[in-house]
Amino acid sequence: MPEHDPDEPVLERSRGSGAAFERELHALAPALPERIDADPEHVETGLARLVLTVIELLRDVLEHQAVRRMDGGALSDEEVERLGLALMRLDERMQELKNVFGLTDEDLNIDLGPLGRLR
Amino acid sequence: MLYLYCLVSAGREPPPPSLRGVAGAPVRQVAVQTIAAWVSDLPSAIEAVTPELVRAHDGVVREAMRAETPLPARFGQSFPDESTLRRALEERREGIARGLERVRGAVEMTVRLLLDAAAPGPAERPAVGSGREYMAWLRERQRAAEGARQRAGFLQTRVAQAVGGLARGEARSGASASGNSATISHLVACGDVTRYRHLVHELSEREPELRLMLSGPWAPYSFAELPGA
Repeated sequence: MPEHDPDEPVLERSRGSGAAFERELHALAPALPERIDADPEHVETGLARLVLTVIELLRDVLEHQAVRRMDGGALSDEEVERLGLALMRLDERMQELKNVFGLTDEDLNIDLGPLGRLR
Repeated sequence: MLYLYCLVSAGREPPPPSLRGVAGAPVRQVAVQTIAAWVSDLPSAIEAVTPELVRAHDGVVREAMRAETPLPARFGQSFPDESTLRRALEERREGIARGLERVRGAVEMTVRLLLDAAAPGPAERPAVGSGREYMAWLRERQRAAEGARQRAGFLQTRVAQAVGGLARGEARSGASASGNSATISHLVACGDVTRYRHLVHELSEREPELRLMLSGPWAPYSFAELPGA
């Protein structure tokens, strides 16, 4: 390993992993956290993003619970089917709302700090 | 509007008059007893994150690091006026002093690890017709996410073990938004940075399947959480 001035930040990568890291960093760049847009013309989208993010969080909890109950054998075949259809429709409704406000999945994938990201 | 870069000990040199921060604004110091904040006066709060603004923020923090390791503020933090900032500093004075003591003479080193051995899982929802199929897809997606989390923890522990003796503090972040990488950061004494690099390099040579990227030294952004905050 070459010697560096310890005060200057440097970047070193495992041999042969340069391209993979470049792809990963490009994928991460759009995920930089943005602030809620306070421009009156766009405030609606900012609020929609906030509200849909909370709904997305609740949906994630519901989905985990549903899968846990299914895997635990607590649901009949009919209940699994009904629950699956309900969650599928919720997913479709969310996609529609995201389209209305011009939001992507990544816009709602908020960073919860030490808890990591929502998805 | 006061934009906050970092917190330092009040006894040290104030920012040099030529120093410029976000939007090219001059940087000044606001001191409250033994602690001080490096700030810029801005006409309004920053509403969007751009690489230039982040670099400008980090440039000021890095300047502060020349004399003593500061507690860097998260990007975008601002206060409506100086009295509000002074009140906030006063209320948290003890915690800030403890935080500064913790990072004194140290920097942050970060290792990003690729998780590509973990199964990527079904990212896109397939066209499913039945509720049962949808539930099966959900299960697969959750398992893939859990696999990535476990893989991240395993790799982070490998790095932690390799540099263990040099770390004064450790911060881990779970799988990234893309699900392809995770990071582990260490608070390392300035005098140990070269040794830290060597240990990570040795690990990477010893275990070539471990695909990692080391960066630093950085200001201790991952270690600026105030005790009890």
